[in-house]
Amino acid sequence: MQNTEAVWLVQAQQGDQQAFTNIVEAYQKPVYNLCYRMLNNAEDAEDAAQETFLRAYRSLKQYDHNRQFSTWLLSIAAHYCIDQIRKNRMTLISLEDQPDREIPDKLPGPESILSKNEVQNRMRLLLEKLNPTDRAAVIMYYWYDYSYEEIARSLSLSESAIKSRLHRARKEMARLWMSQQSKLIPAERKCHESPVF
Amino acid sequence: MNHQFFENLLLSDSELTQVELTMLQEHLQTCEACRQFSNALEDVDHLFHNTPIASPAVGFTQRWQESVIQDNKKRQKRQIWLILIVGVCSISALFALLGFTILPVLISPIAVLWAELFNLVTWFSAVEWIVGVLLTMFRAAHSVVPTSLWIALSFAFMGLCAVWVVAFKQVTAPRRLVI
Repeated sequence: MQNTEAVWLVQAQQGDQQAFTNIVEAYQKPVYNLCYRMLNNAEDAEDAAQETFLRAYRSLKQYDHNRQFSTWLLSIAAHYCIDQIRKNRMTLISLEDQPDREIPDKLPGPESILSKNEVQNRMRLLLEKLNPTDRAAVIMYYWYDYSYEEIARSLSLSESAIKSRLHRARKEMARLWMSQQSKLIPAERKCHESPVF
Repeated sequence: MNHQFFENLLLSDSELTQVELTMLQEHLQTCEACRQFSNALEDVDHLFHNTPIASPAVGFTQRWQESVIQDNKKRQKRQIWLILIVGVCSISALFALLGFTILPVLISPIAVLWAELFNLVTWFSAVEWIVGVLLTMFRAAHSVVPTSLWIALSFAFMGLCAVWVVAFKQVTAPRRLVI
């Protein structure tokens, strides 16, 4: 895969569009996932992923082969999403009010959809509370198993800054999770209570 | 009780020492707040690790190819506009310059004609003065330097010219490569 990718990259740098299309095919999922988790919206994520590939395609000649391509690509995606979040901050709409646009993998039953959506919503709320850079770091940490060094390189920050950001973000999310749990428990109790009592 | 210390241990990515681990376990048995925090952290980690990667809708690559075509068209349009704007600006600047040059002629053509005539006369008088100076210098040199020396100097100058022509031909002539 690495060799094939290297060949595609060289061909793409020489202007072969088909070679870059192969790269798009190979990296569409990780790029889209990052954009989706960052922006919490399928349409915006699609646009951001498209824009990421377009920017990568346009600046492919500047790509340094000593650097890992996935890190470079996700770095473009992360920076674009951070910019988008900052731009949209003025017209911020509560994501809790938005319908879930997650594409189901198969056709699960209604209960499964409900619980899945609930979990997704809780995760969204957790991510939403983080600032854009922390959010990108968390996504790279959990979904891509990136090392601190790789995250730091992707987000143009120092390794120590990433460590402290992740430490702070995980703490914040755990606290938020605790508060979510405390809100959920009384509601769950009410559901199970008999109307007779 | 120092909750911050134990929270830091829970959030730490590096492996804990046996002492730290024992201290943490003992603390978690007695501290409800830290136990809740630990459970929440585990839940969050579990949630993130078990959430699958989101996939784009089918046909992403095709849509990307279309967006490249659209982007190329946009870029071409932008380039055409840029060329047009630069062209229009250059022509306007040229016309403005031309206007500034022609405007005095249009306003008062006789005055401009007189001015140009004056310039011409000035030029002629300057040339005449330079020729006069050169002639005077030549005459002075002629009276000082004897005729035989003049002839020798002329031949030397011609010889130098010949050397220069030969050297120039040697330098510029294509060389035969020995392989």
